[in-house]
Amino acid sequence: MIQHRTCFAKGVTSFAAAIAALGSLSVATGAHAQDPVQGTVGLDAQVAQVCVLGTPNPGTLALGQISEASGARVGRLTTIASQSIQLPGTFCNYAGAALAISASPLAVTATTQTGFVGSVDYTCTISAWGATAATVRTSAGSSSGTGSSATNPAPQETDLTLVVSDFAVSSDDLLQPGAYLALVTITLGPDAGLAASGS
Amino acid sequence: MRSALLLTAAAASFTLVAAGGQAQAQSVTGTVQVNGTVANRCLFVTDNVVLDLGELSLQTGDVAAIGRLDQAKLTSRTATLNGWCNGVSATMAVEAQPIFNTSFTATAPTGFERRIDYTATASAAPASGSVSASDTTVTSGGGSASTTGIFASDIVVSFADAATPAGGRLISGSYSGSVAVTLAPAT
Repeated sequence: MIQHRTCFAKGVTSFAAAIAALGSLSVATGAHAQDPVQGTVGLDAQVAQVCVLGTPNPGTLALGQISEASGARVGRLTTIASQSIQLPGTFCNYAGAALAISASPLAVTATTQTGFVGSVDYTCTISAWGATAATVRTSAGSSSGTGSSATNPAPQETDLTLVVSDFAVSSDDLLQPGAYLALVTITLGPDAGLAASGS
Repeated sequence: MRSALLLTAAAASFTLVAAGGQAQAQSVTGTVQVNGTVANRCLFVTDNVVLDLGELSLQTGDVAAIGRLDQAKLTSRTATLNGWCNGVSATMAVEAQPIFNTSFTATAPTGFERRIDYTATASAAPASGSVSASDTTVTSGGGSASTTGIFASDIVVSFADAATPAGGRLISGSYSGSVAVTLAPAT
């Protein structure tokens, strides 16, 4: 008798389950809105490494008369004040760009006569690019010396200042008359592969 | 008396035969009703397009502009998705994400940028006329949805107002952004 009741109960349960299943079927086949759908447009791009060295201002240093015009040191190197050249708007859009300077002595364009000196050395320095300044000291024996460079730790945009100072001759002799010329080259770029420079 | 009874019986038999002939001429109709539904639905046929914008910064020209955003690299481009919706209440919405430098993730140094904002507009073409939805990356979140109704067409995504937050120069590296277009069957 107990078994019979149990069987009856199972039969009711199965019937209810069948009704429930039928109910779900009717829901599944009903007209219900679907979920929103999404389309995607991906945007890929790149920005190349680039450096720009600001245009030197002034572009030329005119030192004028560099020998003493009178007094005990007449004809010898006069005191030349430090010179500054601005390079505004200099930038590199990446970290690790090196700033280097090479410079030739301020040398007379004519042949140097015995007893005279025809080459004036000086120091070029640019700070504010890396942790250390880029600097070079010219040497009479080198037409284009390159000193220590400076590397930026992050993308950087700044107004650089080139300071030209410490004018001196190797021996304090009379300066050879004539025109004196020097060339300073500033290079900014990815270390050895230099992308931009100015002179 | 007997004859009269026979006549009555014969008349009754005739009447019964006549009644049986009328019942055979009647017809009846049964009906089967067929019902069905079509759910509101939207679907993308082309759901993914990748635009390679190339170099984003100006490489030549005015020194002051070199390294800054070349807006035309984005605004001159379009991307074409394709999809459809079958309900009159269907809507389309756009959510655009800024283009970020994925190589340089630190805070940009002064004078530089690693983010590009823009406005993306998606245009579908229902028979009743073009429907557009837009979003700007300047503010977070998606743009307002527009009702497209029933349509099956290309969905052209175009770009405008490309700019960096402060007009600075772009940091070198790879950049990535995205535009999501959502088609909703019903509001």
